[in-house]
Amino acid sequence: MGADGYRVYRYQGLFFSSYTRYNSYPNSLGVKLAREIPPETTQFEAYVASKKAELQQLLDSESAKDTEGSEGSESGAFTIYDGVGEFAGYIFRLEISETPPTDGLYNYEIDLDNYIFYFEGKPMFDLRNMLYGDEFLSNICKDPSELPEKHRYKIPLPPPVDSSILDAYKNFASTYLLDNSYGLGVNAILSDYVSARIIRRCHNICDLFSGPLIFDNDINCLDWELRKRDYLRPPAYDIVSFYWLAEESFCMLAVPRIDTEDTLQAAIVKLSRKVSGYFEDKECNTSTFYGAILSIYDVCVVRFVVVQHNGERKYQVQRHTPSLRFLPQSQPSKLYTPGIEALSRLGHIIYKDFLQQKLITERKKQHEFWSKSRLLPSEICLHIAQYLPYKIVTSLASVSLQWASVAVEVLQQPYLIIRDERWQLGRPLPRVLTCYWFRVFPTARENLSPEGYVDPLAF
Amino acid sequence: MIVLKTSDNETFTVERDVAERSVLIKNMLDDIGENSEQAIPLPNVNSSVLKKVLEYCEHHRGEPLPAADADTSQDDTRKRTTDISEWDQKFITVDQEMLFEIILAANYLDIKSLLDVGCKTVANMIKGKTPEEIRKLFNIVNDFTPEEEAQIKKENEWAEDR
Repeated sequence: MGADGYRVYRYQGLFFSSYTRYNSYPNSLGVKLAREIPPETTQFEAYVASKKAELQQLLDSESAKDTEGSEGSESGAFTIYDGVGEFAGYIFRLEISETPPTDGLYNYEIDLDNYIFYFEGKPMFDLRNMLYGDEFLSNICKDPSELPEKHRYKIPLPPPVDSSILDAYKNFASTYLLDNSYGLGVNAILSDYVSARIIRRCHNICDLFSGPLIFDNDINCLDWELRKRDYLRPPAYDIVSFYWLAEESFCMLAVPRIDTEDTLQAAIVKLSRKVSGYFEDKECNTSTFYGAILSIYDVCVVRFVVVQHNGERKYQVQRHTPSLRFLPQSQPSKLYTPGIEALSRLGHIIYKDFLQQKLITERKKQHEFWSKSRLLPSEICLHIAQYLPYKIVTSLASVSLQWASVAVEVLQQPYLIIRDERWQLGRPLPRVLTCYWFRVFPTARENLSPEGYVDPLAF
Repeated sequence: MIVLKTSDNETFTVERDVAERSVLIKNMLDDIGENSEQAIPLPNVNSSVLKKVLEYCEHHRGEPLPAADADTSQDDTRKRTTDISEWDQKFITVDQEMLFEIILAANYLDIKSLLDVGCKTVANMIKGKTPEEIRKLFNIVNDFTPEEEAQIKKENEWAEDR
């Protein structure tokens, strides 16, 4: 059976890939491709220059075809390419595309823009300090964080930030909220291919952390669960980098990087401008709100205050956290990261405000209409509500102000819902079997285990 | 035997282990001493309610009392189900006013198990009802016009589970 794969070169943000139908194993194609990269500095520089020249030539010929309007001129066209070095004598069918191929079993990429050797889409080696032969083979399947520092890929410098943006940042009266004490070292860069998709992912993650946990047995349904909660969601598939997860409470900006001071400051300035732009033709009814800036690995939480300045409303960055590690390392020693913790805390604040707004403030009118008679004290109503499922507790919020306050209290407790798949199939099962409601105990995170959840309360 | 005096000045003579189902009464007895014949005043409970409460205490005498420092997780585990035993269910089948009175008395007298039975019963009454039906249950009058009602329903859609 053939082990197919791709050998890919990245140059000027484009991917030049050739498909190999057979024998793409690391001990074959991988080792060969690594051997193509010379270890000695002068030879390496010559190799890079010649490879770039070859690829540039291919680009030029493609753009000439474009100009002539010949067939195959659109992006993704195939070009015939003569193999050199280890591949001398071979003819390759080379595809130029804006995204790397993902369908091969073993994919290798030489990134000439950033000097990174990728395997299976993961950044691995520094092209300037490659590993060869047995050493290559013994390291190629490791997690990048486990590679020897010398050979591990190096993160390229971010593009320079315009000085006017940094000046704009200096005008903010910002102070750091939280210590950045854990795992700030970014160990990968966000590829262009991923950035658009990651925005949506970050959105879902953020959504998850800013509300109760709702899971289906089938984890694939999670997206669907989150998507259908339209009150927190921009239109489906409308991928934008800035949006409000909860209007006037919590906005989000997705950016490629915030791992350096300059990129962080630039992102904060960008968020501030997006916020001001949003409120240009809108009335803001709150005095404070939050924003989260997310890259794939890091998050920064920003607190805004609304101030009156010469009769105008200004949306000022009051303070912000440093760039906090969000995603855990591949073999983490803790169940959380500073970024997850910061978002969780923020989520609790926002969710509480959200419940207050939805269950009490917005229902003020209806509560006023109904009798204020208080048949049972709130502590007993709270006791009763502990026996009720989430859905009924939210319904209770429209019954009276007292019950709304009780609902706010109850719904702040973490819970998750697991549905029985049979229910989704529409089988006529008794309701008691179809949906389980779990209250999550505030146990120490280190000890969080299935035993941390109570038995199901059916509804 | 000890004597309990209700808000409507009726007195009930009951065995000590029955009365001590109430943490409030137990603490009061501890305070006033073993041999006091003084009636214990219960100004927040009337005679008809106390009669029912004592019926419950009599039936459950001898059962272990929940520890005062029972940990929260056990407490929450207890709340996972709204099942009520057959005797308790029969006992609590009373009109709504009496049910609420029993709950209030159980809360005041600190009889946790009775409070649970009452609250579970109310929770069971609430389950499966619409907000409008719940309002009726609690005698809360709806003054909305149909348009306002429709608007409220729309506003509450976010909370719908499916």
